[in-house]
Amino acid sequence: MWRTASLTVLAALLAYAASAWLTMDFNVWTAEGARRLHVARAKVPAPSVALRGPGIDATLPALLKRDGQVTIIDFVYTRCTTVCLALGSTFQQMQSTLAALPRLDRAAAPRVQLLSISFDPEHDTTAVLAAYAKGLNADPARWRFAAPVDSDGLTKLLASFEVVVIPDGMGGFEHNAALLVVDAHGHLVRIFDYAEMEAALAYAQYLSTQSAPASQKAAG
Amino acid sequence: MNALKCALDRYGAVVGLVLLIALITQPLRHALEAQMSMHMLVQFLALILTGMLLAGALSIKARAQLAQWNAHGIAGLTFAALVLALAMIPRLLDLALVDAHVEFVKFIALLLCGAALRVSWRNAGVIVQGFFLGNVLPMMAIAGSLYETAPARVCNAYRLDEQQWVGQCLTIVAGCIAVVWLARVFWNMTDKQRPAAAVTPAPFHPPINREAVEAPRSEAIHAAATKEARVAS
Repeated sequence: MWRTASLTVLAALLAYAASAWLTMDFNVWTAEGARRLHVARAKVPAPSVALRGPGIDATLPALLKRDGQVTIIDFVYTRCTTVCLALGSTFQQMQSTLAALPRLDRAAAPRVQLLSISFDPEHDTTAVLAAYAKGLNADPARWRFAAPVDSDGLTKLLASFEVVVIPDGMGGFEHNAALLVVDAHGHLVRIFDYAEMEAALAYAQYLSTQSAPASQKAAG
Repeated sequence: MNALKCALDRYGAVVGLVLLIALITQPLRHALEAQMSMHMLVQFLALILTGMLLAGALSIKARAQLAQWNAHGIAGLTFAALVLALAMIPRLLDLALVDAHVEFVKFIALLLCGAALRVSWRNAGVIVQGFFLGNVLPMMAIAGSLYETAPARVCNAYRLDEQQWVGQCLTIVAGCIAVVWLARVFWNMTDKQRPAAAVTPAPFHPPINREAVEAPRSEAIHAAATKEARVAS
């Protein structure tokens, strides 16, 4: 009987170890949860990817690296009729929140930028993106749109930020939509659900004040 | 009779081996993992079945030795229940697609789960079987209803509508297994007058320890069972 008991205990211990690893110490149950926890624990550098869009012709980390600038990124495709619309309205609200900040905070506000990246560059040409931006009343000084220039860059970008895009069976895509906060060094530091707009915005503003350049801090 | 069963056992193991090779090779593996329903319902089940078939290749001696570590099938069924619980965690599905190590461990665990079910089931008896199913089936049904009602996708690689369908299927499968098992138990309880029915083994059960299973029954049936086992060998 002791042999059965010890084998049973061994099985239980194995299963405990496996489930603790799989759920990251019982914190997450899904791959999306694991992705967000991974990023929160260790920031992910943005890969070097050439982007183009209305007023944009640059590589990704360089585009994000500006003194004290924090960027909130989302991944979309313009033909999307479901979750991207929700993301679009979230971004619209963030844009108006940032624009309506009281005078005191306004110094920090321009440092929070919004960037929508299309993962459907074949369809989403620069002209299509410009029309899409206009339709969403995007302020080009605050909210920009871009798409990777080539498919290699797209694959690299999606892989590093763990964006999973799958066909939805109706000619479109399903994707793990979220708000990605990238700091002034071009590092992805936190991922928020698109329903957590206020938290994402507050975190981005906090980061932008933290990473303000020394000269500005001294002047202030 | 026994020779036929031996041949069936050997044949089963060969079928298991063919099935295993088919499940491992790229085209079928990728086709099955392209959809959530195929991945979770068909591939998982096929791996468990393959494990059951392969366990038929174990010799009587090996099985007797194994039984010493698996009294009343408790260790085997505990292992199987734990593997099935882990298999319900949605992150496993996503990880198995991108991480070869996780995919490998998933295959091994599900095969062992099937093998453990086969070598443990008959030895377990109604009480241990009931305890096992009483744990596994409600868990499966709850996981199924969570999959079905979750407002967001739990797997990044699979669609929401598929996830809802898989959830429904898990709940239904759990219910069906419960009904079939209960029907069998009640049938055996009320059908004591027909020893033949009580002695006939279930399709995938090894002819070992028939006495242990028959032990709780009446003396007459017990005697008939041991007699038939003796005649058969």
